[in-house]
Amino acid sequence: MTVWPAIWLTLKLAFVTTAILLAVALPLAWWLTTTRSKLRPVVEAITTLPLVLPPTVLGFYLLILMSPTAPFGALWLRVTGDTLTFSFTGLVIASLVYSLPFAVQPLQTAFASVPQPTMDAARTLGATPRDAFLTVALPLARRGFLTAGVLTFAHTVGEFGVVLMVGGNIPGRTRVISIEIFTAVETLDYATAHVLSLGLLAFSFCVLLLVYVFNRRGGVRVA
Amino acid sequence: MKILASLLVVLAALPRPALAEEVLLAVASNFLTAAENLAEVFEATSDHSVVVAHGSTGALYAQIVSGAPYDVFLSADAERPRLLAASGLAADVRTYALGRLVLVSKAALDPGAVAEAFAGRRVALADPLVAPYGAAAISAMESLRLDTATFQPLLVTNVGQVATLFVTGNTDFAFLAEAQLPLLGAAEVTALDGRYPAIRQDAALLARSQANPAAAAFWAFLSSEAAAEIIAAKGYDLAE
Repeated sequence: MTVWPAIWLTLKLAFVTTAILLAVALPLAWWLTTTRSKLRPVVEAITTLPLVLPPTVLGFYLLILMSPTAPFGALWLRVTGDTLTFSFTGLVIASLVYSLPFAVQPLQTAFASVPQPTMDAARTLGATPRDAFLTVALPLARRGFLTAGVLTFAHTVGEFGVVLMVGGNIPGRTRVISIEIFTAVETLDYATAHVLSLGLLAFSFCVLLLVYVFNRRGGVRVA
Repeated sequence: MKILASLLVVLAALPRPALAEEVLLAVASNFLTAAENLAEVFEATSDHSVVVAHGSTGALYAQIVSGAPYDVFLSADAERPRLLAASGLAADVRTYALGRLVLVSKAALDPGAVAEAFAGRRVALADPLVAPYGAAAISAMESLRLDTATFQPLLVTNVGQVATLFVTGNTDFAFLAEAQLPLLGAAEVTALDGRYPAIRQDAALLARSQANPAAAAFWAFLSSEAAAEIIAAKGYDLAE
């Protein structure tokens, strides 16, 4: 019973993050696939950064950025009356940054595998670029969309360091499953640690299995 | 106890009478079980609810300075609550307990031959920079004339992690708070009285929470007879 607030909070965080990130990643991935801009490698490098940076670096900068004494954090405090750090909203912002590559890369790979002649044919038949995107590219890239959604969700569920740094460890507010496990181990509550760890292990395995089964059928690769 | 705490988290989201408020405690790891006990008794005797968050004193202090929404800070030292008061973040500060440091080991230890027992072995202690019990452990080592070059010191961020290292068999010796002993199971305990400066644990009522009736009520409860009994029973001395 004691673990339910952490599970509920984690699922809520993962759902909100996945919904927002897919909306942001879709145009970004399409732009990265089709643009001839010289800025492309720079933008690609920036979107991939959270994959290689240690969570402590992300956590440190996010803590500074969202602090009530920093311009962004202060503006947020004035508009909403709530601080960003150590709150659910702060966790969502941190997760958006942390999971960005997991949303963008599968979509980019999927869009890149849409054959150019198919797109050209659509245009020749009178489709506007918007029509061609919505009726040709998007349906063809649907597996990439699913992969992006599933991986973003799973990666957010597995988040630890960034959440601990910007969210602290507040029960029911910022204590997600991974932090609940950390707390359980620290307080020698191994029963709780086992239940949650085994749960996450099984969940992660199922998610990856789902992704690989789908990709075997579709030929869209993960990242 | 934990079931009760999580139930309250759920209940906190539901509509409730206007007078019942929530107090969010930031508790140094060594005091966690005592704080959960205090929370239980406080909730039973008032309309208010308590949420307990914990970490190392240094980490909690850093969170408070960065705007964390805590109401009462139960520190493991006197320095950080004093700094909070000096910067206007704390409205009131008082000593709630005097911590007791102990040395635990798997085998019985001769207090006169600690250096020999330590030689080449792993000794876990909290990081003295962020955890007052770690600083006390350093003082105790100096008092025992131990040379850290002759054994393997393991520094972790708080006494909770020190206990984990000991229970999982990853260290032979551990400097812990006496209050943690009930969690450990079988362990030999060496008292270190007089070998370290008093660990004065101060509490701070944060300035942002002065208007929260639950915070004020908990603050009053903290210096009650009932609270003193719980704190003493958990392995702390009381400030006179």
